[in-house]
Amino acid sequence: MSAPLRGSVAIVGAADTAVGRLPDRTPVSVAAEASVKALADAGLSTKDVDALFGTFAFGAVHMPTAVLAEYLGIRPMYVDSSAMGGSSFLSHVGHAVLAITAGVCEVALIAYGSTQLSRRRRDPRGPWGYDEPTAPYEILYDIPLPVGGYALAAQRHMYQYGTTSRQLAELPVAARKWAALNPAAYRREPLTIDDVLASPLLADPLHVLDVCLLTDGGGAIVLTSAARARHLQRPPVYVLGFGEHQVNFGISQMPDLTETAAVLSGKRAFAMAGMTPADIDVAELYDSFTITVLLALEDLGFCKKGEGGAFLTGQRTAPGGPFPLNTSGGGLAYCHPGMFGMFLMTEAVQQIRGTAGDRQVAGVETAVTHAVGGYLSTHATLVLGGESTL
Amino acid sequence: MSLFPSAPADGVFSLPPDVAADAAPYWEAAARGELQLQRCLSCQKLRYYPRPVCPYCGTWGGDWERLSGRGTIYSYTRIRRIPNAMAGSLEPFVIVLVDLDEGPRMLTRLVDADISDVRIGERVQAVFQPLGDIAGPAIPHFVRESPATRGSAGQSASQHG
Repeated sequence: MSAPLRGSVAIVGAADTAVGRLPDRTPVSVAAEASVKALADAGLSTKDVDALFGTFAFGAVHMPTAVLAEYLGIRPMYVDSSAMGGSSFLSHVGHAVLAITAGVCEVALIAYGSTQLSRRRRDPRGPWGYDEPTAPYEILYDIPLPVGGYALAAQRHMYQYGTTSRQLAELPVAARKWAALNPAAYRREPLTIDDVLASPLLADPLHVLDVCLLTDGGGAIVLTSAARARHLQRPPVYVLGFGEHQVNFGISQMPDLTETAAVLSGKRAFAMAGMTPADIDVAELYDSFTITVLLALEDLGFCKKGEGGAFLTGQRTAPGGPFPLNTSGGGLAYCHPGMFGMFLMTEAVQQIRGTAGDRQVAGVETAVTHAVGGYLSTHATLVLGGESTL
Repeated sequence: MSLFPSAPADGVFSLPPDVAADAAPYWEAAARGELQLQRCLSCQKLRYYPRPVCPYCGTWGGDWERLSGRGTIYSYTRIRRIPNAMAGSLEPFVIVLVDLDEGPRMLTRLVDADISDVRIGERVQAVFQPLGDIAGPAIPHFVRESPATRGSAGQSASQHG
């Protein structure tokens, strides 16, 4: 069933805007800037785009693709504004592959921009407002979301498997080491595990430094058929497999806080790619919180359930380590403009192309990206690869 | 400080009428000091949070049922700071996920006088009080099971694990 999809579509352009503080910008203008850069990277223009995908964080724009299409002068024949929080853009890739393969569009642009830091606006009525049916049962008790939900998961994982805060603290430390190699990263100063453990607790057992950055920024990618991709200027990065899955929205609705919907999204993506975690050279896993990464490592099969803490111990994911993870510095050190999924993909593209500069991992042919939205709610996984993987 | 979007300017908490109406028996029971949830007419499963459709089988409707209000802590987090909020300091409070003896899991607050040593697996029971220092109807909170009530709860614990 899925065999024809493998490698049928490729990412041919990718770009991030500057990240950090982008004062006097709007989310749409940042997304548009990323779009123009990604199209230029592909050697294409807005005139080539016939499908547009995207969404904005925290309801910043009511009709995302309609607004962005007009702003860029694109008249799309296929659009998708599906909003799944952080995992949205990885889901959009899967949807774009289906649309391109079905022949309803040829060049798909997926874009994102946010100015949440400069505007200091994450409207509390937005995603956590009344019309979400969990609000009167979860937010009523003042649980700060999303961090409180992830803290509940971390606490349960520690209880069941003996995972420790020290093990989780390996992640921000490694992230800063990668960020030190990335001139665009927002936080590049070194950290120690003790620094993480000494940072204030927000929601037990998560400290301030277990939590991602809050920045502005944008990114975009361009996809087209593998046939057309071979005639464009960049080496194609093929979508070898994709999967998405959701079990819960609210954290009280998640049956097992130690096992996420990544189990199925990952299984699907790897099955479509005909690969296993052992075939992956670089992993870009959503790091909204340290526990988010640990659960993804286990659920995608990079280690066994309950062994995520041991897997991280000893800076194994840092530059030079055996498991290159979140090589841009990730959401913990590169940037986190509200929804980080886009930046997992733009980094994976650079790594597979071999253009990641000082942070380039040697000989990358495959990458997995996995993103999470909400409160461990929405999950999407991509397996990406270069020409040698077809 | 309440993050709740409708944290009232007049200091009195009330749910918006449409939200309250969606699960009126839940809120009315809580105001009386009872925990009530819906049981599916078809698959017979109890569900939390209240809603008119069964999330296990898709059947519309359900029968409201009074529960024991007893359960076990599945997980907890002590909230010490609100990220990105204007308020730097916060009187810590504890959010718990409680596995009710009858099955469903609910999110609530543990409001014991001493919340310094909370443990997963501890037995808890519902108490009903207004939200924080905001005036308004009683809503479900939980406390550690007291020795006085442990006898009857012990049975329920052995039955439901």
